[in-house]
Amino acid sequence: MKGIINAKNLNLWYGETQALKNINIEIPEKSITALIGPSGCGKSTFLKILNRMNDLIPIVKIKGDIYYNGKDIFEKSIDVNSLRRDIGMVFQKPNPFPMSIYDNIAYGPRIHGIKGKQRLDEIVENSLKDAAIWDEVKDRLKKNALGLSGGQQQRLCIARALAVKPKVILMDEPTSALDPISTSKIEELSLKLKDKYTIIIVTHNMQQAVRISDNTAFFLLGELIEFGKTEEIFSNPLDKRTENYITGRFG
Amino acid sequence: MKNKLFENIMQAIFLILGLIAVGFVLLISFYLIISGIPAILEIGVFKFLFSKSWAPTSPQENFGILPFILTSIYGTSGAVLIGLPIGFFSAVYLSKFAPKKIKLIAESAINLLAGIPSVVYGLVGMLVLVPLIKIIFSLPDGASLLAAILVLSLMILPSIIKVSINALEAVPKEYEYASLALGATETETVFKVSVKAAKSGIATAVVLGVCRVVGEAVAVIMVSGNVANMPSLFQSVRFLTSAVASEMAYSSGLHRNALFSIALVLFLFIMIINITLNFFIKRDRKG
Repeated sequence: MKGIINAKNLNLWYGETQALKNINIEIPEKSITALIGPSGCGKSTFLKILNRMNDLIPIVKIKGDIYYNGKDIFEKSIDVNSLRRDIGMVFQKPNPFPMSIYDNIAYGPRIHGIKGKQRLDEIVENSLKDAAIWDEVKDRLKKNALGLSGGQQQRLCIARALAVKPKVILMDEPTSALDPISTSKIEELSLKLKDKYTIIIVTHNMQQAVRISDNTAFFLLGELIEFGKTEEIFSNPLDKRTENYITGRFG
Repeated sequence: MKNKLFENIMQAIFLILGLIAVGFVLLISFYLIISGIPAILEIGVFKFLFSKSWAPTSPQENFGILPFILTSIYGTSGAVLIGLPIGFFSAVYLSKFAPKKIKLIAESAINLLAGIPSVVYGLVGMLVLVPLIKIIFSLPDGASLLAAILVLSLMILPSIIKVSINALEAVPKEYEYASLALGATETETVFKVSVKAAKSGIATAVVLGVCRVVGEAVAVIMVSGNVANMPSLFQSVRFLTSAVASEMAYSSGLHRNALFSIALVLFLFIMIINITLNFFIKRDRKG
């Protein structure tokens, strides 16, 4: 398996505080990579720079490189908008737009210049099917998306991310605001999606990492402590700190 | 037991305070209707509303307020047409794009603008704008509908900008993040997501602006020439408000009653505007 995202000696500061320390990681394509670690360990920060959402925070300083498909994403010549089109994101709190279900999904494709009702209809249907929510919403596509339940909203957000045909999907604790049933639906969905997409998921839920991820990265205080096959990280961690964390001694 | 009594007393006090506002609205409506109806009936509804000449003191007295009605409609529309885009885009810029420093300066300027009494707007309009219009368009007199429209559009800017900024800033950041993460540019995000999400707040800004313009009297008396002509951009005109304000002092008899009727028409105007716009806002919120 080839790495689709490579971080090389990545350091990041929020003002004076260093949030990421010399991160080196190669994330394999078409698999699920879980980022775990206690709050404030840098895993969410790492996730957000992969599609340059950190650009929105003016005090961030970055040293080092991240390569996406061999291209440095911090290069001046990189078009952030097309980078974000390739690397989609699902947020912690479901955040559908206050528009109809249809318009939520069609928003991305429209932004990227896709016109014509038939094509948009097709994209909307396929995206909703891929996100396993089509059957629940197909009769009310014109209704406001905010009327859906939290779990449905989150799957809608996944469908919205899929609609612009990304290669990578970043998920920032996508189930932390959801009930167990909705959570398991999202987990099943992630397992289905990894055939076509690379998924990187930040999670506080260690069982979730075990259930769905192929590889796990353990972050602590801004450092990447250990990265490897999920089974090995959880059954046979190399580092004492990883073992302490996954056995629940802190965090 | 004592607590329960205290609760009840407090509730009664709040109820009375709340009813005071409602009571005054009812009182004003009631008073306007009572004092406005007789003159309308005496003159005739149709003649009062649609006759083109207002000559209350001439031997052939005539009480037609069509010039005032049309002037108020044109003046308001003109002011909204100019003020709304400027106010809206300023609000978008200040809430989404402006550097902190510029925003701070602009916002304090806008607050100041909101606090300036309308007589000062009128004064500046009279001393600067009216002579300027006279020169630019080589008119015999610069006091005109155009001058009034320009002053009014400036006067509605603060309320439009402030209310729109509040509405735009109340849009959850998560919507904007979602849009950016899909590869939308900041401009696309602001206009296709933030403005859409804030549209009922922005509509409220328009209502406030329109009501302020319709009700403004002092500034327009000073710059519009205050002559009861049918409205025309470069001619002196008189608004519904200025008709009441400028003649009330010396009127008597039917003339005085007709002024009350004008006030009633003005009141109905504002009611209609409020109800229509509120209807649209409510419908938007549901949809």
